[in-house]
Amino acid sequence: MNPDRRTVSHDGPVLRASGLAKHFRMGGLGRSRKVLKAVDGVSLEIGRGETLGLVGESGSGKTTVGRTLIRLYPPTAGTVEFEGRDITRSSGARLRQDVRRRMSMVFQNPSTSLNPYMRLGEALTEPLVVHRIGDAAQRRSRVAEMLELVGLDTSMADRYPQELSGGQRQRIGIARALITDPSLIIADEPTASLDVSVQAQIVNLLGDLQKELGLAYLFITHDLALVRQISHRVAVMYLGRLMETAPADALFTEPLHPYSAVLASMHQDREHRIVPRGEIPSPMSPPSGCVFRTRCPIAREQCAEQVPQLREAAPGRSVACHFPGELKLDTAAASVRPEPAELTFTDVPPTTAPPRPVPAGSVPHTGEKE
Amino acid sequence: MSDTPDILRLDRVGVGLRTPGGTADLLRNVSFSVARGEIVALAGESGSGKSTALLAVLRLLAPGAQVSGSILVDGKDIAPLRGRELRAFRSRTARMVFQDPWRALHPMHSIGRQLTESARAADPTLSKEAARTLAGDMLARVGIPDPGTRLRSYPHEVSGGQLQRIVIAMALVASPSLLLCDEPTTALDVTTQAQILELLQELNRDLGITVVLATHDLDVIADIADRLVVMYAGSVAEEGPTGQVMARPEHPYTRSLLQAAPGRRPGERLRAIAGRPPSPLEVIEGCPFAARCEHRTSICATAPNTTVPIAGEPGRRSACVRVTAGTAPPSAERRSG
Repeated sequence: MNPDRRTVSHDGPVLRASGLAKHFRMGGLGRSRKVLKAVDGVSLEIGRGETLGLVGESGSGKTTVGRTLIRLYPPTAGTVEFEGRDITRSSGARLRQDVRRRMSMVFQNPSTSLNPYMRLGEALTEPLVVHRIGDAAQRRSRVAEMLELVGLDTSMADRYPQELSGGQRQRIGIARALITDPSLIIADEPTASLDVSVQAQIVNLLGDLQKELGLAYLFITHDLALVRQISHRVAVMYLGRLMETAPADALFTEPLHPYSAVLASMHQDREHRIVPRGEIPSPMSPPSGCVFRTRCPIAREQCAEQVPQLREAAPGRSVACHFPGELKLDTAAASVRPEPAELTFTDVPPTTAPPRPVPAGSVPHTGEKE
Repeated sequence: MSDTPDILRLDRVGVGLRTPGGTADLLRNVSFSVARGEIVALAGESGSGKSTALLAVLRLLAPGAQVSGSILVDGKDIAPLRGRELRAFRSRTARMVFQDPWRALHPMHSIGRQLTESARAADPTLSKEAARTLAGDMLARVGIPDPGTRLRSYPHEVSGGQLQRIVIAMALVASPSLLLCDEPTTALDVTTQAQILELLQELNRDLGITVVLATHDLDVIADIADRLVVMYAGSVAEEGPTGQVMARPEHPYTRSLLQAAPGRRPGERLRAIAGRPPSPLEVIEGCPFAARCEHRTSICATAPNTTVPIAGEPGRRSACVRVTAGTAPPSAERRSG
């Protein structure tokens, strides 16, 4: 993806969540009944045409945030404002009209999120039917338009999901998300099940679509290199709480929260890495005070007693830490991986044939345009 | 032990599997070797053959798989192993750590029971008590706190990172000479990943155990592997010392793969590789990467699909004829020739 970092408009965010919480009641009866605080007091904003990367380890609550924002889960507390409307308690027709048409989701696994018995054309038409958009002819042309937009041949409409490669299926997933003309896409690990070279194709496609359609993305991922590559801003979650939000480059070069520093250091050579002690505690029994303190290299008494609130540290940056900026990255280490050198060829004289296009017969399924 | 320094050697190994659609070539003419005490990473995308190569070494391929060429472990051909010999080879000599620690352990058996079983399979003379002591020691060795209690736990009571340590301990109680790891950190979180990789490197350094890792993420594995073997479409594209291969690739595929990964030019467009790898059902003539290669010339169609040493670069081999053309005639010094 290619976020053009200068032209993003920050006036009027497309989505604003304040104090968002989602608690799940777990097993047990009466007093022994436990509550899992999957998301606890998360506030964030996504600007129009902006990509907000949401990173965290498994169990950090990043997926629950995405699902609560699109109202697949009703929030336990807090408010969600989308396109200027409060959608926290919307239901029925309002929910469909205000939320589900204008905000869509791209899932991690394109193989299980498509119905194997439905032709791709039907799968793409379904959202239009649900939202009563257009007549049969208009729907058909809209499907064709979408297929073309995501770089697939229009003949794909007659195929079944299992005839497609993983990359092609994710293109269908994206087309289905786009067909109702949304302003925000929640992408939950959209490339995690794809190979590096195919991931690059999908990421570039998402970037092109953002520029063309002015889309905003909430990009949920555990892949730090990827989130840095594509995000304008990044929000870091740990055990259901936001640790820090910052512009992507700033987060990876000058992190303020110790947990962000840990994550950012994973980009660097081994000797410069900050590997935290132990493992992420169970979200059923989070530590008192700061949730990261049990693994934090700079934790002290205050951290066990007081919950650090998310505070603005600089314009566009907030951090929830009693000692922000104390744990620093080793600045001697490069924060960006080095480029591989050019290849040198030794065949003389060059018998270079003009590059020919990839022969269509060399791939089992044709129809993917590159 | 034999006098060869290589603990593992694959020589022109091919693996074919009959399917309704024809024969699927999972490995095509794969040759590489691993020296005793090394950490070697087999890197490639899905379908590149990296896992198949590991399974072939352990003789764990699906029934009906046709294997050609030879695989030598400790100088001994593993193809004729049968029955008791094969079991001894799998329990003592070469051990495997799989990607998903949840599926590698029996959910209904305690961790202690599984570790002692593993130890006694490797050394039947070991008493139950001795095996349990060994299991406890090994858990401590891989960094499990309070090993005594953990021996009585069941897999579901333990986190993913801990579980992967336990799976590694289960392999180590057999004191194998070869540890094969198939994507050992892919199912884990990034901070846990770093811990497991550090553990593997420590074990390699302290116990002298040889480690072969299959991975799809060059950047994650880069700083623990001594050498990289880059695989594509069931073949080896190039091999060499990790730092050198990452900084100066000698095969267009390696370079494209590195450039397609995010993290090198933040905010810029990623350099995707057009098209897709060939299907294992396809008959490939010449270089398997040629169809997607921006440096393709007419000679690529007849390139022998095998790596050749690169003159002036000890330890490095490439299958790209355009890289190796001037340095060594393809027919002369070819390991597989």
